[in-house]
Amino acid sequence: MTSIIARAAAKVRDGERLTPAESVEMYLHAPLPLLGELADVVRERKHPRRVATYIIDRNVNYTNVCVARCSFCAFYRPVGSSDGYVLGFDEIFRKIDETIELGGGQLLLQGGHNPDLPLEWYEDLFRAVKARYPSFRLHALSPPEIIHLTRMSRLSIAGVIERLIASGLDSIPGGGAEILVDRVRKALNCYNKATSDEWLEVMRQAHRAGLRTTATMMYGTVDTPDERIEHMLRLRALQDEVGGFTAFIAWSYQPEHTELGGVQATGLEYLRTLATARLVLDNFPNLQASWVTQGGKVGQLSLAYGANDMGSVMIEENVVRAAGAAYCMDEVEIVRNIEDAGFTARRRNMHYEILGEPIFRQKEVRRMLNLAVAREEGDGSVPAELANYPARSASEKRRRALQ
Amino acid sequence: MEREVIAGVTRADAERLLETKDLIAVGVQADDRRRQLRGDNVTFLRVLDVPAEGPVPAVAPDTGEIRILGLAPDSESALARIREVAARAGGVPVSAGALHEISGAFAKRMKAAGAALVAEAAVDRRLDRSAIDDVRAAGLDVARWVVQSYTPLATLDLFEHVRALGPLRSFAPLPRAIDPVSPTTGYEDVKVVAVARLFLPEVASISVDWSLYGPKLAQVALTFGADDLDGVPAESGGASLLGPRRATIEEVRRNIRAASRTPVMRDARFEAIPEP
Ligand code: SF4
Repeated sequence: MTSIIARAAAKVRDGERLTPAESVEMYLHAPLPLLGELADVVRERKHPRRVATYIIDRNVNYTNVCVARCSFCAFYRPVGSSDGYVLGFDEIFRKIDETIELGGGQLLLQGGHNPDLPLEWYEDLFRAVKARYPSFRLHALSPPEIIHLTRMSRLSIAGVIERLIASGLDSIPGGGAEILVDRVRKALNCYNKATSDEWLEVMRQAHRAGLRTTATMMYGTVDTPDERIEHMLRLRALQDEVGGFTAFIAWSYQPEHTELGGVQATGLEYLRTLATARLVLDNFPNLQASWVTQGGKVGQLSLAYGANDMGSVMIEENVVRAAGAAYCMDEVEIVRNIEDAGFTARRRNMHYEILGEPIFRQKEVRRMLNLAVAREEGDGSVPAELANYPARSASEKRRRALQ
Repeated sequence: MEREVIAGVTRADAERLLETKDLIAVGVQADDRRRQLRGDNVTFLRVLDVPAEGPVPAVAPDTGEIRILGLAPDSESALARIREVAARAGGVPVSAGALHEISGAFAKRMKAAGAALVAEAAVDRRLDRSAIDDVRAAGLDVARWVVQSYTPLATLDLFEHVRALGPLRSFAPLPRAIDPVSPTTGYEDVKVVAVARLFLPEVASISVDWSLYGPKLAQVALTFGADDLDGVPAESGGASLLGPRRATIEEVRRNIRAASRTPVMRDARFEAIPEP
């Protein structure tokens, strides 16, 4: 073991912060068992009594039409594609009904950058959801979607966030961060959807407006280990400044059906990345396991490598599935995994407030052995309310002219 | 050079290890033992599965085993199938059947037909020594010692049974029957692998099935005492299949290297297959 690793390990045990050089050294060279052991020390310090949490929510992708065209994305369809869809408000209400039936209280609502959905569409949707389901939470629109709305509406970031909050936005998911290093973003064709600074600025403004958000990292494309650490350090610095991040979630790039192609990072790389994040992100209260990309087994092992949260029961998932991974865990399965690892399982909300014991121990809930999809295959219906908003894309204008 | 004799942990120790939630400590112990016993090589076996009937697919040159799946309707057809497959095997060891179904007399006929190995022996079938001795006397080896299911036997009861079988070249401790509604968890799997490594020093290699358990869990198991990956699919030969075939083999090698181990391709007899 190098002296730098021994020194860094001692600092972690003493609750001191790692320097950038120490962070890189630990990530690259510390033995994995040591990383796991130290990550567990940090987890235990932040979450004593071995409580591990999860949330019941539904990951709804309101549209797959996207002008951004990130090269790592297997989910999007170009404007005018026959496979493109926009969910109608009624479809979204039905999904909320099912979510409530399964004990959930939140939608994670994200989608493509669709030029035919102006800010008003989101405002109307959020208001309609809140009118029907007043206590239901909207964890919606990752920073690149907010940037897209600033460009469409010509409002500032703070202006868009203010309007979305006024119509019902509760919190912002930390998607679209990929790696917050512009060299990587340019290589992945996601620099234009949001630069690193823009992504961070959305979160800064959201936190200042009183919203809590998560932060994510997608690694394993063209990024180097140093760039992954740089990503973590940028998040750590913003968290020092405004402190609104609730959790960090890392996942590996899923290469199937993407333009970029390539291979997926291995399970051990995931555990190493997760454990390192627990050491570097000393000001993040929570670390989520990504069982959706790693599978239930490595997802559960994450609890030994620094994670204190099993993420979402999810109910529906479209993005990762499009790239080849299709794991499903319902509440019974998540709780079984948490308890088998020697933790107490607790349901939480997006603010990581404990809501209580598992729902299925309180009432009959049907088992869910497959994740739902946004739309059944072949359903090409176009929601009626789209006609209330001006079409911006040529293909949508053409479609409406033909009607 | 004489191999250092390494004692296994006691049953009480093993019980404690299976119960503990300190996963990392179990992993470190098993990994140390694996290194003492096996060094840093990880072997992997590419298996071409051939159905009991129908055309025999072409065999790619670096296939390590041709496994005839399923049971032919009667013993004569089973032997005919072995002859047919062996004739096209190009020297790749052919395996068939499960130990509990094979008598000593039939094992001799299998050998004469061209089989090199019995495809598997499920230790939860409570195999007795005479069945094993008969098959070995016929000149057949066993390609893999596996666990079909842990119910109703406790893990350590089974491991004790494995111990009683005497030194084995390999043992795959993770069950082959997976309940789709309630599969074993990652903690359970890696602890079973680790305890197998620690409890069974007389077993040379602890094996995990790549196809059944998936690359991620199989790779993590390599840091919990496993040193062999069985069941890597070998596609049949032919230019059109070269793409996926290379992709799988590269993925296996990449996963082994990412676990800081050295990949060694082997055949069903645990003989190394030289790299092209
Ligand atoms: S990742 Fe998001 S922004 Fe990029 S192409 Fe996919 S849907 Fe569009």
